[in-house]
Amino acid sequence: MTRFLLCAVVLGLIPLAVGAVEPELDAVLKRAAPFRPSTADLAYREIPWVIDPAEAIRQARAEDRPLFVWLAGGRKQDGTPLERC
Amino acid sequence: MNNPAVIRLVADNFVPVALNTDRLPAGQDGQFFRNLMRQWPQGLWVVSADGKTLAHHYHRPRPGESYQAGQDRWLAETVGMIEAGIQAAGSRPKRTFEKVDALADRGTGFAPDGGVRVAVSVVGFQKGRREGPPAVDSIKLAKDEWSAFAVPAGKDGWDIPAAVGAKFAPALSPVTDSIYVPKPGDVQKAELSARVVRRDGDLAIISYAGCWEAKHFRDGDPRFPIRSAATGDGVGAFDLKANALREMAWVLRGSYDNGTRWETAAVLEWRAAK
Repeated sequence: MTRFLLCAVVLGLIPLAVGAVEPELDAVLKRAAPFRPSTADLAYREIPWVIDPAEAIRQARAEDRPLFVWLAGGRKQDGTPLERC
Repeated sequence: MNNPAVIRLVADNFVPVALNTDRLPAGQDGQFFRNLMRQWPQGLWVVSADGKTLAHHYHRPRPGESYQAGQDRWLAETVGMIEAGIQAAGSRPKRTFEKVDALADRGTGFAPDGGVRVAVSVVGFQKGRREGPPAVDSIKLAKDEWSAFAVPAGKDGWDIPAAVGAKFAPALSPVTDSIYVPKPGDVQKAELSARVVRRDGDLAIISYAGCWEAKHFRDGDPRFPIRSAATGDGVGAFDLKANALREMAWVLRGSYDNGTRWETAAVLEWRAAK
C-alpha cells in the first residue's frame, strides 16, 4: 500500500503537500523568470533601510552613529527611493 | 546601491534611511532632512545625528562619457564619499542590527485596510538586447480594487473595470526614473478580462488577459510625449472556501517610445503568504 501511494505521488496522481505550485501558475512563473530582477538586482535590500524620518533620527541618536541618507523625489508623487520614485 | 562594497560600508557604519523628498513630514523630523536639500535636492549624504553634513555625493553624467564609464565613476565616487564620511564621523564599532526589509510587504500579504501591494518589475530591450537594470516598482490596490480579480458569485467569466486595469500603468515603462512612467490617468485603454479555467475542490484557477495603451508627457511638457502599450496574461489561484486569492502572477509584453523605441517585458506578482 505504501509503495502504491509513493508511486502515485511520483506520477503526480496525488498532489504533494500544501505549497505545491499549480501547473497554470508554474507555467506563467516560468515565462516570467527571465524578466524578474535577480538577487543581485535586489542586493540593496540587504541594507536595513529605515523609511520613517523620525525613527531614523531616533536610532542615530540612540546609537550615537551617523546616518546614511538617500534622498530622491522632486516628482510630486508617492514612492520610495527603494523603488521608482 | 547593489555593489557589495557599498552595501557593507553602509550597513556596518551607519543608520541607513531612504526618503521621498516630496513626502517629508512637517515638523522637526522633516526639517532635519529638508536642511540637507539646501545643498542639493537629492543624492546621498553622511549626516551626524545632530544634522551636520559629513559627506555628500550626487552623480552628474559628463558629456561624451559612455554609460559604463559613468557607472564606474558613480560607484568609485560613492565609495569615496562613504569613506570620507566614515573618517569624518570618527571610529565606531561595526554596527549590529536586526535584519529588516522596508519592502517586506511588496508582493505579499495584505495592508491593514485589506488592500495589497503587487510587485512589479519591468525590463527594456533595444534591438532584442536587454538594456539597463530592471525597474523595480509596485502597484497598491485598495480592497475594492483587489476584489475585481476575485471570482464573482455565480460567474465563471467577468471583465475587470478599466479604472482598476489602469493601475497597471507602472508596468508599461522600463525606465527607472518615474518622470518617464505613465500614471493611471495617462492610460487611454485598459481592457482586462478573467475566466475560471479549472476548479479542483476549494481551488479555482483563473486565467486573466489584458491590453493597455498609454500616452503621457515627460514633466507634463507636450514637447516630450511618451507612448506605451502592452498585452499580457496572468493566472490566479483562488480559494473558493475563503473567497480570496492565494496567488496571482502576470507577464506583459509591449512597447515603449520616449523618443527611443523599446520593447518591454513586465512581471507582476502577489501571494497571500511568503
